[in-house]
Amino acid sequence: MASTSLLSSFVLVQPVAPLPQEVDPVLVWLQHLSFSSALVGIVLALFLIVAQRRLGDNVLKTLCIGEFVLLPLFVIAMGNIVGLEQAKKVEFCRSCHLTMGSFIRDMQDPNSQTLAALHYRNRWSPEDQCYACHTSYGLFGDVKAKMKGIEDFFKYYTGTYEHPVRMHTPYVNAECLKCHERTPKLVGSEYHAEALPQIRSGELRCIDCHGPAHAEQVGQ
Amino acid sequence: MRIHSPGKKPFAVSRWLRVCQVLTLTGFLLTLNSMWHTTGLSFALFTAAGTPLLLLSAILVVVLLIDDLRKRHSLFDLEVYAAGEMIFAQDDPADRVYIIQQGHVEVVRTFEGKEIVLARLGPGDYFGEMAFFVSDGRRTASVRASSPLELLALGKENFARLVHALPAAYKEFSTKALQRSKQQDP
Repeated sequence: MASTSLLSSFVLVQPVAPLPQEVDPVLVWLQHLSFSSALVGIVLALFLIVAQRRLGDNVLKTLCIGEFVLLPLFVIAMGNIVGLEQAKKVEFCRSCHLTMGSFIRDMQDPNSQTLAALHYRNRWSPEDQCYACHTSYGLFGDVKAKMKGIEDFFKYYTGTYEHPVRMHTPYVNAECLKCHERTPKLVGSEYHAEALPQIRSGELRCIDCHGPAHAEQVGQ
Repeated sequence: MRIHSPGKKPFAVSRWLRVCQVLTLTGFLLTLNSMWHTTGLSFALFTAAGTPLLLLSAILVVVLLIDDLRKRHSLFDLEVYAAGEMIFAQDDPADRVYIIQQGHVEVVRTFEGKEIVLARLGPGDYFGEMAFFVSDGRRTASVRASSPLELLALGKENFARLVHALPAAYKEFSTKALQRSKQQDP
């Protein structure tokens, strides 16, 4: 198979765990801040439940403004920023997409030759691998992905999904081209140069030559 | 200007404040859960339930604070109570002085678990002033309506202005407060 020989030409390296410098310190700090703020909010709420009648009028009102207005607004903002960033992590995707556990295991398999594994192993996509390839590029790509995620969440927990579980839409070349477009390997190759109009229009799918993307597609 | 309104509880004893506390507590617990371990479920609960609860609570508290501010500065709100309804309870924080327009009230105090009726007041009488003269902002006794009741409620801030501006009013209210305080002592 042409695609297999093409893939085996890549140099194999061992998978690499996220390096300390790849963990976003701002995100970690914000997460700690949100967690601490929520904890302070809980303690303060319990304190007010017990002691609100014993507090002076002005003290109580000042505490109430802090506890019920300022702190919640801060926590909502921080919680959503942190949550949306965390939602890009592979672990987050796996927490709902349980059936895709095998895809993730394959991606992290040092001997796998699937596209996902090669991107992971060679660090072409060093972090947030699911998110990097499965959100449409463009202004509303992230928003669309989140909206779809919420829809899937409700379908999953209400049991209203149907078997077999499929992708919402076929995988489009735009997902590949958002990184590979104009790279020397794409525009410098005579095969690609000839087929570029068909690749861009989606007439010729990247995955047809460079697949399989995930383990389940091997041998299909 | 007169505002016809049902009787309202002071800020610290408002039932709505309890509602806010429950809403906020739930919202913060969902936030904590989401920040502790962000999964699809925990984050969806935070965004779909935690965030609206926290926002609702914030809006409620702002409304309560504005309402409280209005009451503190109100000039004779007309408050209406049904017979048997409590106007305020002993040890509640005080924010108004009341003048009875129609109906009657009972002033009651609890000593060692027993309720004692200290006074019965009717149209033209006033009550609620003691908190500002002898008890540091707390109600010294409970007052409940013994018949359908209409009260004129004077906000705390305007009451303070009145007694500072009019020495005669100060004398009237403070003398009455001291006199009632002596009667209440066991």
